[in-house]
Amino acid sequence: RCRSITLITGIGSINIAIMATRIVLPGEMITNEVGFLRGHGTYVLEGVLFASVAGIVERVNRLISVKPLKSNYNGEVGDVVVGRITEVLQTSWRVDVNGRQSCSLALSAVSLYGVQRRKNAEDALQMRSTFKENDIISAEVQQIHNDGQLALHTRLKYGKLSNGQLITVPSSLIKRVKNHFYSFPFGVDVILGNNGNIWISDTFKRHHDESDFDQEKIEDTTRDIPASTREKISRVRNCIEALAMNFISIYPDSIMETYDESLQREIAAKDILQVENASEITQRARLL
Amino acid sequence: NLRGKQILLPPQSFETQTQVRSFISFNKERRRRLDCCCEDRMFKISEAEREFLIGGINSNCRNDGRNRLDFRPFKVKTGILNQTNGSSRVLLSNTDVLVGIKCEVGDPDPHFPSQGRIHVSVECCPSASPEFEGRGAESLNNELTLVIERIVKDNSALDLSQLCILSGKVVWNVYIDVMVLNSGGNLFDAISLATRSALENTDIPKVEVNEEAEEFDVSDDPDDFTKLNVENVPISVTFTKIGNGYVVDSTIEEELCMSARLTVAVNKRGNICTIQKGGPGGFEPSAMAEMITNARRLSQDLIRRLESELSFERAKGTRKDQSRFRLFE
Repeated sequence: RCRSITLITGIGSINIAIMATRIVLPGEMITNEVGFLRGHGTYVLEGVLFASVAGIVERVNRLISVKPLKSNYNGEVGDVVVGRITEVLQTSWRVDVNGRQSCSLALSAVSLYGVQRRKNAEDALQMRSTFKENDIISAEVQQIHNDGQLALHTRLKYGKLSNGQLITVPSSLIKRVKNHFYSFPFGVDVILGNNGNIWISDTFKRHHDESDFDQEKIEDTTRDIPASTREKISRVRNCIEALAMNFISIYPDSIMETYDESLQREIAAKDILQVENASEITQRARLL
Repeated sequence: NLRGKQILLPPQSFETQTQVRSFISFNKERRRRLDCCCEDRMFKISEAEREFLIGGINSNCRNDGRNRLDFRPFKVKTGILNQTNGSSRVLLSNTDVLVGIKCEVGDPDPHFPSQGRIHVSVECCPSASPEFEGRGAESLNNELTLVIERIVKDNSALDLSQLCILSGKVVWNVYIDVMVLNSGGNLFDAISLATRSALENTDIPKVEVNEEAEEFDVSDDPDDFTKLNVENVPISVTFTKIGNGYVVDSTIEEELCMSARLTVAVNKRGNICTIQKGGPGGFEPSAMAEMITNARRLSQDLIRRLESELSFERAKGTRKDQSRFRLFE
């Protein structure tokens, strides 16, 4: 596929054709022209540029890099992540987000019961009542330390997740979109974490008249989810896994297309993961 | 105080002792963070996920939409290892099991002088799952080996007298080696499916026996072989108790919530050959009777599916045509 950009200048417009999107394997030669800067995923041997990972060649002016198809999650500031608490420390939690290192979530970066206030020694002793080991949370990357460790925060709409299930896909399939919290019209919520973890739950309606303190308590308790909603949740989960099997980008539109296709073909939720069914229903999503 | 601990030194030099100490404590913290990642990868489940899962099982709609008694689709490929007499690989969703069978001439068991001998060994590859690293898989390996041994060595499973060469002196020793390459839950059933298909795939070279001279000659011709009759080899169905109900063919998340496990091996005739109970919890006797009845029905289904997969594979081409170890196009 060739991509071209139209540059509109004062005089007229110039079409610049960029190299076709190229997938390379480790050890494959990218170019033997000189004058290119080598970026991530490449190495130079005797003046020739080779790829060191399997991925897509990206070129920005003179900088050539290879973006790997499957790799550990690399965080950026502002990413939404869905992670699991692995340790409770003195004033912070350690969170696993499928990256090279675990992240830290400081106590000061958590808003307790919707109230922003300075945490005191009592709060430090009560940390387990907020997040325990193995809990799943949604958070946003606040900053990246020098050594690459991510610092998360869970203010506003982020926090502990319940009444749903987790599915893990390769992190490169999750596109960076404006809104990672999506509510499907048929009563299922998804949180698409940039790190590849996706949380699927039933839709929780917030009552605006109650205070945030009670909201969190209500949201946390186990809800009685009817079997029809469970069937929809498992269908969404299987659609996401079918998209991952076929290496298609996962975002609300592609999930919706796959879901509709599976309903149209009257495939039972549990049968979606058979290879033939999975590739059939993801056809339309592939074209998006 | 740094005895035996590794420190990664940067190229810079330190001027004061405080600099050294602060660097060492930073490094310790950094190594701890990196070490943590290995433990992090062990499968864990939160209370919220557990409650959702158990709620799903009670409503007969599991996390992936299956009913309590539904099996996941599986794929089988046989004849993939050319150094063995028989081999097979089974892919049950994420669970990946490889079986290799070697037949060697050897001594019989003194209690059964005119029967062949079967040796089973199951090993969970340390890379299959974070729990299997080091000696983590030891007790699981032992339990799996025991169950498969009981399934295969059962009197009704295989006709071992056909493996006798010279009664009391020389018999065929069949070595069944099972390797779990990836664990996605339900290892027992995947291994029993793979073992049965590998046994069906096994070629035993023809032997010319001279009874009076007590001599035998094993044929060198690769096309000159006999097959084992695996008609009555049982297939196991594993039930895991989660909450108050039980499910069949559990995934990794479900196995994290289980309290007890019951493996029932049934053969094609519907006879129960082996029952193995695992896990710390217990079963109600009425539930056990129900499970055994379900096992008899589900195993017939599994055997039928396995046989159709194998005949489909046979129809696609002979062993020599297929590419080695290229799995599941």
